[in-house]
Order: sequence, then C-alpha cells, then structure tokens
Amino acid sequence: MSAPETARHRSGWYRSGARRRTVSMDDARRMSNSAWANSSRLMSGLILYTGLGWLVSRWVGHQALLMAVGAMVGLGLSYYLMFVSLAHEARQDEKRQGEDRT
Amino acid sequence: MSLNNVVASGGLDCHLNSGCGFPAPGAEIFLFDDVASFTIANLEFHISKVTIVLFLCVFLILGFFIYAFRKPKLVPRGAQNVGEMGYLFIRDGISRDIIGKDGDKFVPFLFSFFFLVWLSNFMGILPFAQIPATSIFAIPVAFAVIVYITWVPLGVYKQGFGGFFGGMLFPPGVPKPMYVLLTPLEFLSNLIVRPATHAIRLFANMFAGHLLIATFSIAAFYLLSASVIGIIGSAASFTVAVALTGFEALIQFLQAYIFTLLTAVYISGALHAEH
Repeated sequence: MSAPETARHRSGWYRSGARRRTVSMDDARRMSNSAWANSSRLMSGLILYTGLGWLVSRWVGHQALLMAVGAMVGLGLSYYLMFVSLAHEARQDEKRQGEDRT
Repeated sequence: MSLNNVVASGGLDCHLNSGCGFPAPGAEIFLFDDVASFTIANLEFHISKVTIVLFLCVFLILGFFIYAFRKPKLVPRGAQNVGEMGYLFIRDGISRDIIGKDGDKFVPFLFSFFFLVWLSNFMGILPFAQIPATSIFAIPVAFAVIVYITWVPLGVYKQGFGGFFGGMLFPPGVPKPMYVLLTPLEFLSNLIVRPATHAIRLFANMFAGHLLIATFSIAAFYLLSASVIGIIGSAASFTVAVALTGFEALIQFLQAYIFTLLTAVYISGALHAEH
C-alpha cells in the first residue's frame, strides 16, 4: 500500500512498519469497540468452559481434571474468536482503504 | 458508619500502647446505621448516610448546572464557562469519538452519568462525607442496569431483533460448526460479562480505594505514641494516607470517565451494526 495523500483524509496517518496508512475516526471507533469486546471475550471463554468442564467432571466422577481441560479449551476458543474477529476487521479495513484510493 | 461500629471494630479504643492488635478495617466500614426509616405501601425505605450522600450529589449537580445555564450568554463567563467545558468534554471527548455524529442525542445521558458517577466517587475524599456512594455495590449495579436497559432495546430498535442479536451472537468469518462453541461464549461475553464488569469495575475501584485510605488513617492513629517507632510509623502512615487521597482523586475521575466511555461503547455498538 502506497502513501495516500493526507489532504484527502480528515484525520492523520501513522507509520505501521514500513507502510503508511490512514486511520479514520471510524477505524478508531471500531478499534476501541473491539478492544473492550476482546477483554470480555477472554474472560467469558474462561468462565464458560471452566464451568462446563467442572460440571462434566462432577458428572463423570473425575476430580477436577476436566475443569483444567475446560479452562484450556475456553482460553483457546477465546483466542480463536479474537483472532478471527480481528482478521475480519483487518480485511474490512483493507477493503475500505482500497475503496478510498479508487 | 455509626460510632458504635467504629468502636466495635476496634478503631478508636485500640492503640499501640493498649496492647491490642492492629484493628484493620474490613467490609464493616461500608455498613451504616439507618438515620431514618419509613414504610410506604409495604415498601420499606431505609435512609442511611450513603442515601444522603447520593441525594446530595444529585442535588449538587442539578443545582450547579441549573445555576450555570440559568441565563446562558453567547460569551460564557464564570459558572457557564465551567458547565460548557464539561459538556464539550463529554460531547467531543467521548460521544463524538466513540459514537460519532449520531451520538449527539445521547450526550445528555452520558453527561448525567459522568457527573453523577464522578461526584459520588469524589464524596470518598470530601471531608465529613468520606464515603464514595459508588463503593456500595447496589449503586454501580443500578447504574449499569440503567445503561443495560438502554442499549439492548436501542440495538433491537435500530437493527431489528435478528440483526442486533445475529450480529452479536454470530461473529462473521467463522466456519459454521464453530458457532456451536462460539455462540454461547459471545452470549455470555456481550450480555452478561460486559454489563457485570461495567458495574464491578467501578465498585471494586472505589471499594478498594476507600479501604486503603481507611487502613492508613487508622494506622496513623493506632501507631501514634511517644516512641521512635510510634512517631516514625504514624508519620509515615499519615503521609501515605495523604498521598493515597491524592491518588484516589485521580482514580475517581478515571473511573467516572471509563464508566461513561463504556456506556458510549455499548450505545455505539447498538447504533452501528458490526459487519
């Protein structure tokens, strides 16, 4: 991505690695939204699947082995969800940047 | 807090020289006796110091802003200047940044929340009040519930039932079978954990801050005696208590800001579909 003229954009640009890109107010809005969403995703993944693991542990009669497994699964799913949503946002970003230049 | 509570928890009759251990304050410093109580239509009302402090906050805010904008002038002076600064801080710093131009009609909502939360936090370091109303869990919960019953219906109204809950519970870019695992997670995250942390974040900060200040103030009193350890320990505790009070002033503002910011984030999520 080459450097777009800054004059066309209301807000400034920042240097990301070697390339320049613009960040609009809308991007900033989405970023702050996903920042808050991701922290609560991390928490709820852990809570939900640790709880499920604990319940299944009790049901099956294991001590708490499945609880630990559940915690890991929950964390894994939270991270997966975070990566997927961030990747989706990045793709949307690319698309918008592309539209901007044409 | 009634005087009885303080004495009972060992706050005032306990001293280094009287041979009792350090009376560390606990959750009991957040319990207050009723100043008055009455019953209206089978509903019991208990008025304690916290209720009075909260109502005082409401009336102070009302009073100040009515006074500030009673005769608005084009070139603001004095109280109007301060009032407009507060308004612009919320509108430009929070609403326009987070929600955008269409958030302007939510500025009064955010504005009231910011100043109410800030002032009730500030009551924690105001002499004689000295209890942040938000450190009583019911109050931040009530605030968070008001926010919750604002943004959920708003989202349904703006995006439709399917659009709002569909966008929230089914994150895009995920293979279909994964929804079995991810939809409960998103449900918990968006509809339960987010409002819960919204209340807990404010409550826990105010609770911990008040407890810290109380601990060091009691330590300053407890250690005060005519001995080297007494003088040094008491002076150090007092200094820390003063420093913590200053630190609390910062936290109080920050927590009010974060509470309002999160409110704006939720409203923004309800107004704009995520796709």
